[in-house]
Amino acid sequence: MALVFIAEVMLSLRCKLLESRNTCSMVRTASAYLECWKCPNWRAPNGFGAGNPAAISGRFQRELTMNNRSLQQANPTDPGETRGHPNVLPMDATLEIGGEKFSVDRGLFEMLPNHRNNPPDKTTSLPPLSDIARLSLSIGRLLMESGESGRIIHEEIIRVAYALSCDSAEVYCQHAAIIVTLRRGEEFCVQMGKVGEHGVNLRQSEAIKDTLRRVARGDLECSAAQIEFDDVPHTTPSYPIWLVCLCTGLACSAFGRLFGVDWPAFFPVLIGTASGQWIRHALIVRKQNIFIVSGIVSFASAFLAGLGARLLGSSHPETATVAAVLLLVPGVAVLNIQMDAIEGKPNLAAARGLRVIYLLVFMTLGLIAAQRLILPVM
Amino acid sequence: MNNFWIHFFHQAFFGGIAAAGFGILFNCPPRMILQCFGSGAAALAVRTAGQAAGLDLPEASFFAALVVATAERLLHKFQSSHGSILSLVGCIPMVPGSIAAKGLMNLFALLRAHPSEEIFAATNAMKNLLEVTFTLAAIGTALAIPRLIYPRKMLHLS
Repeated sequence: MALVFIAEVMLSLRCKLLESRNTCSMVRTASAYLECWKCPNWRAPNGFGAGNPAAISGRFQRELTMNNRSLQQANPTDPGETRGHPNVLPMDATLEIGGEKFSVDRGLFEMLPNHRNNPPDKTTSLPPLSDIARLSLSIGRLLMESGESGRIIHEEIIRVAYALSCDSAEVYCQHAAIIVTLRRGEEFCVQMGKVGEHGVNLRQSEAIKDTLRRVARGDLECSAAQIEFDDVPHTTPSYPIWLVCLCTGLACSAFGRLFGVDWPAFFPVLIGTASGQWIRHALIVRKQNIFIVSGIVSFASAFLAGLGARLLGSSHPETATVAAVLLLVPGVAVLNIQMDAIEGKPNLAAARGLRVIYLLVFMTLGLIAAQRLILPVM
Repeated sequence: MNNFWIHFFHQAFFGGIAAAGFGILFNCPPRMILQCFGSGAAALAVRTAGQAAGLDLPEASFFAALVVATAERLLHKFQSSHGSILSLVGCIPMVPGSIAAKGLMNLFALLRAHPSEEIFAATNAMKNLLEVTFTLAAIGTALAIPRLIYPRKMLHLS
């Protein structure tokens, strides 16, 4: 017992000495770990390595993650506060790396990089919670505007918050706003941010996720990440508008073929849809109301497609008009509604659903108006 | 038999075209447009085969979406962000937009229907809207199943 006590005191002293130098985040995380090991009632402020994951040697980090669950299962009496913590090992942890066993008394500490040889750590001063909250809101807003489901938004925000040294992060996503609550030790920060018009932009979504990965790896600091996220809408490449119009037309013509539209109606549907997409683009750029835009585009597309189909002698002008307005069906939003409802976010799903219903109603009104003009038999 | 295969390849081809076209509308990365085509073609192929085997539209759509979503999970890297794009775009051609539009048109037709036509219009509208609801529910559930079984890892350390 006496020996154990002496060992604990020595370890504690070593921790305190290293912590006082505080030149390397590795030292901070190592001391956090050892403190956690030492005292069952003490909780690591950021979890092992959460403050700066990039500073931990890759091999050690990997082994730690891999062994964590089995170690905790094997040691059910580990300190209460640390049990279940994703990044903290129990007090009597041993690691087997390359066939060799390490424990805290034997070699585990020495595996950590020598802080004297490391360059000064830039993240010693952690970013303010308000900055992390702002970054989280930017991420959530951009992802939601790019057409991601609620689960992805939650996961990515929480992932970044942990990577930037938060103890916990809670996210509440609504259709028009996101609320983020972050905690670090005794500090906490709650912020709300508005969300713009929901759309679908998969390249933007991918660019956001790439930047998120770099933040999570520790390659990008909070302030630099904020600048990158602010630039994402301006730097994300997009297809030329003529190509988008042409391909949308082609897609709706293909839809027409799937519904049984004959070949004479194929090109009218293509032209009607392409024109409708161009009108939609022009109106959205001018920030017109999305529902009004839906009605106008529906009318224009259906009118052109139906008229063309009739002039070319198609036997399915009515189906051609329906096919021409399918560019307005918010397919991704509809699938996100399903995802959100299934994955436990009914509020977001309901708000999205209401918007989809209104879009469909306006689309149908435009379609009916066009059909009455060009299909007098109706 | 010949007619079935012609119909099968026709549906798969135009399903692929629709998925690729919507991939460009959704600003999908250029390197993935061909994969979008494949995803849409696979979805429509499975749905057509299912319908030919006697399944209803919602049932056939469920299996088609499940096949695409499972293939996406198996063929792509676990943490890849591309996977969800592919299954999403691949399932877009199966979203029954035209049936939804017809259902709403039938509802509007109900307003100006003669008394003798009211039941017909109401039945048609109800049938269309129910079909849309069940098909969308089937696609959404099928897309969610692989994600729920193999969820993304929550990374704290890496």
